Amino acid sequence: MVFWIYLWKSVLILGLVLFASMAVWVTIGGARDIKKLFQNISQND
Amino acid sequence: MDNDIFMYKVQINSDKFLGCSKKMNSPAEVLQQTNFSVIDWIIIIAYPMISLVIGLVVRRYVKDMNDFVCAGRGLGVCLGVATMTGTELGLITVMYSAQKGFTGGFAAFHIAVAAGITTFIVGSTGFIVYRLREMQVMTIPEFYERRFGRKTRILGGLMMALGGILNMGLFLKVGSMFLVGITGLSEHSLALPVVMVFLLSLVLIYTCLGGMLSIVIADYVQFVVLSFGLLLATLLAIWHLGWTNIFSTVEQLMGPAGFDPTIEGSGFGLDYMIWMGFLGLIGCAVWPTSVARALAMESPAAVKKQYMWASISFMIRFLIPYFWGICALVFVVTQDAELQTLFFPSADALAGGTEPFDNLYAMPIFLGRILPAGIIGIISAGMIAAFMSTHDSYLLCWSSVLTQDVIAPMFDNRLSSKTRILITRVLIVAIGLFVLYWGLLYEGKDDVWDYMAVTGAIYFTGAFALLLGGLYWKKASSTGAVLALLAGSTALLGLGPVQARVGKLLTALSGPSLSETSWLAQLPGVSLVERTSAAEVAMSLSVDISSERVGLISIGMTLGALVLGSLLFPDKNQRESV
Repeated sequence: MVFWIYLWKSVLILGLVLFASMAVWVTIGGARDIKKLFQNISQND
Repeated sequence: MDNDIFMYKVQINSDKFLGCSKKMNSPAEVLQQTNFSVIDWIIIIAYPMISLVIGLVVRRYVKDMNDFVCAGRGLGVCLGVATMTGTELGLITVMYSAQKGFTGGFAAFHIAVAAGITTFIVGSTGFIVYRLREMQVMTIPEFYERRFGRKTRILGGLMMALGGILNMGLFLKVGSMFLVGITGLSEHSLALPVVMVFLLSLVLIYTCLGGMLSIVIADYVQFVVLSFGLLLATLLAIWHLGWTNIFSTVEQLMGPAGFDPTIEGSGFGLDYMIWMGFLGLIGCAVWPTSVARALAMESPAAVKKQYMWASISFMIRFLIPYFWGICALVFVVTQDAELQTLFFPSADALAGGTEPFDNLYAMPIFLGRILPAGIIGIISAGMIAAFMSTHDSYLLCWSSVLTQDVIAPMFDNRLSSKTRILITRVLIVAIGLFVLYWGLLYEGKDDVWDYMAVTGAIYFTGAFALLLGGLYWKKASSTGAVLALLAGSTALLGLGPVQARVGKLLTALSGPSLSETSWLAQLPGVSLVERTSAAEVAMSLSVDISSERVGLISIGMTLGALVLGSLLFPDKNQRESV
């Protein structure tokens, strides 16, 4: 059981750290993508 | 997970933590105890209104069906990851995952890990999604037509819509239960149906306005609000309960079964784990709402990047809610005697007819108790955003499948883009009304997650066989494809109410001479039970097959049907070439 407890603790910590990093990256990059998306749609009209 | 086993296990061990309090409040009074305040109400009412304004603003950019369904195929990687996360991290996911964490403990984490790993593998290899994006199809049934012909497209579209609409049948009810739970509104008043109607109306207006464009923008906003909200609430839960205490309490309550999914008594086991691994693959590579995001990307290469990054979201969308469910369990059994009595009535109370309280409410009640005012509003707004983004994506997905893949092919694709958008909007409203009706009607006792896995399997078992065969096996034929799609409907047998009906049917077929030696009673998963009423004691047949076993059998049947059908009835071109 000790193995499983350590495994799930590690998974949880790693998951939270990865998700927090990704959230920052996607928040900044996503805003840039939205701007580009509407520019493209406007140009196609 | 067998709820009876779980109830017994926790009842026995939870006595170590809290005794029963002398004066117990009613369930409605217990539900009303929350930190939810006026400021939180303002936040959760203002947020959907902002989304509505976005829908109105974006509407003017929608010119044709390509814009409406695929957002003009112009999504960059970051926006693609945000919209995929926004769609798949819905309130329903949070609720059913929390329920799984509440009943399964940390052992449920294997589902999250399986989802993350399979999504990463799909991203790195491009399995299924890369080729679909290369073909520039708008929907999966469109691929069916190109590969297997029009009839397969229409049948595939119908199966997809049937499975998908049934699959989202409980979204509205379960999502509304979160709001009712966290805000402290009583379960027994009209609160639940009123919240259901309010949320549904909001989503219908919003989705009909802007299609995929408004959905993508809303998904992005949801991603930002919810991802930071999820992290904040998780940290607050750990701070409130204590990191070590959470693990040690689960250890005392459930023992090894709370951590090890492979052992007997965990409620999972090897069958379940294989089934979850397959669902992880399906959830990202075959499930239409995920595939729709892949098809909206700017290039096939961007699809692979999107999936590799989104693998983190696919894991976290389960992991954090499981953890919240576990924290709710720890909170209930260690910090609140009233809640403990409510969720785990004593053996005497159960014998006296007291029903345990619906454990779907555990997580929202827990958050309502530990989060401070203001933060609850932000988390709830994020959850409403999650609710809306999942609903709008699913409504758009199933309605556009019916329009593009069932109705339009029947008219030889002569329908104009304007007519198709109109039909799609009408279908969005019709499906929304069905979801409201189904949410109020369905009385199955399955875990929500298991209900969704089974209803989804009606579509995805057949779709998986067709995509696999169609993309990677030249001999796959249209007859094999049709047989595989039809074989997928066997997954319906995994639902509790369907098994009950089949049991009644088998009892009727066996006639009055029913006994242990009857051949029907010897079938796998069928058992003989005694039913006692005031008038008589009667024997009847009961069907009890676990949903994961039905799902795995169903996959085997669809793959078998595709292979056999293709080998026995090859397509005309292949026959000529042979």
